[in-house]
Amino acid sequence: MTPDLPKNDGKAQPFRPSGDGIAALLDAPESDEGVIAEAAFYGADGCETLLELVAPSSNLDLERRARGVFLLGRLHCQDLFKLAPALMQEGVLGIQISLAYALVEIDRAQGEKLLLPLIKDEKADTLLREHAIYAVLAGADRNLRALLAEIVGGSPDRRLRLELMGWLTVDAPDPFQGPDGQSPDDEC
Amino acid sequence: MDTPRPLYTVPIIAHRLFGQQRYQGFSIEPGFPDDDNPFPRHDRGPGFVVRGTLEADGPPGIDRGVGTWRSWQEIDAMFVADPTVDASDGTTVNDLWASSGIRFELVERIDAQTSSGLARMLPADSRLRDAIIYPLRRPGAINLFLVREIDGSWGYARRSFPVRPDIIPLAVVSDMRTRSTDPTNRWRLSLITLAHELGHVLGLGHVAFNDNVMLGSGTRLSSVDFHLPQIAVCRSRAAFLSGAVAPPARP
Repeated sequence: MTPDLPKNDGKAQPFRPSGDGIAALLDAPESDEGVIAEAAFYGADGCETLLELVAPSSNLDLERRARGVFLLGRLHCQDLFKLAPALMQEGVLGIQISLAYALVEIDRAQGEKLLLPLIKDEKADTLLREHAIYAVLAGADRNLRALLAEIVGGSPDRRLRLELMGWLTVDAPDPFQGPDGQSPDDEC
Repeated sequence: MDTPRPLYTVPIIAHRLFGQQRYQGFSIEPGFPDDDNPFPRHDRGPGFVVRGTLEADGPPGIDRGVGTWRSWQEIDAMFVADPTVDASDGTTVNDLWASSGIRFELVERIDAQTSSGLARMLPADSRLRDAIIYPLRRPGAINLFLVREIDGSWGYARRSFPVRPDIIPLAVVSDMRTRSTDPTNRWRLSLITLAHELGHVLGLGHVAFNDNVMLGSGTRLSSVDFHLPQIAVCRSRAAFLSGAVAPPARP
């Protein structure tokens, strides 16, 4: 029960990563600021490692790969755009969904450019289209919101229309506002 | 160390999160009930999916093909040992919390539904997922949501505040179905993650000790301990959540 406290001899300790490398962060329960800070500590080498871990050729399990994609988004790793076509082509929904959010996180304009054709594609997976819409909807301006409403409103995908039209109309409450007085900062 | 008798029993309302059927009419399509193959390199052969309901214009029904994989038997076994459950190795989250004197008890089981996309994977944006999850919560207990996947994490939580009974404590845990090929490891990682999120609910933050349940930079099979100061913090909140102590009046 007694914690094994580090012996610092009264001196301040510099930031020290956990020592297990960036791959170990894929096991972290959450992706809080501490995890992002540690991932950033590994710099370009860390991004390169993550890109290898999330690639279709990786032997890592699918959920860890999806988490790797998420982390690459938070690290603003531009090279994820190069890997994006291969990940989309592979067709693993969990990874594709994480990718949609990560691309918008890295570069909103470029992310929108890649996701809008997917959102318009009636043959694409309806659940992936739904997430792609959420990804670009967060922080969307009035024009983009109107465009999304037009695409979804004209779609033969009844499920998508019923789930999303309530949030896409101009007067709809902003889904990105917390529903009660609890701040998202309280989350852990 | 001797395991103390539980001082506080904290109630938990469990929600399994599923999608909702909004398909017009009824159709049989090639494919599988699940939207993707967890083992994409292995061909599963032909399959079919039955979509929709006969009452297309009625209220949406629960789409159990999208959402958590966990059965109620499996969820019960996370709290009360049941070695007959396939996924379980007979250990529970209460074993991990035993040294604290705090026990968790499932008091209600609910099948909840939301949009099928969000039931397939909860997004990382807390504003969006709160808009989905918050209206589903019930007061008077920790609300535990079992979901299939969460973008960027294995779980998350919202703390309880004894002086703010209007804030309903929340823990969300994903299925972690592909996280380990070893069923025992998968079960233990699920329990450690659940114990970790309940630790957040009871006021704990992350620590850097590898043997501690609240390790923030990873989840190890050996991350199973609580330290005495953590137990003191948790007991103070568990006292209120268990109903043993009335919350103080709000100033």
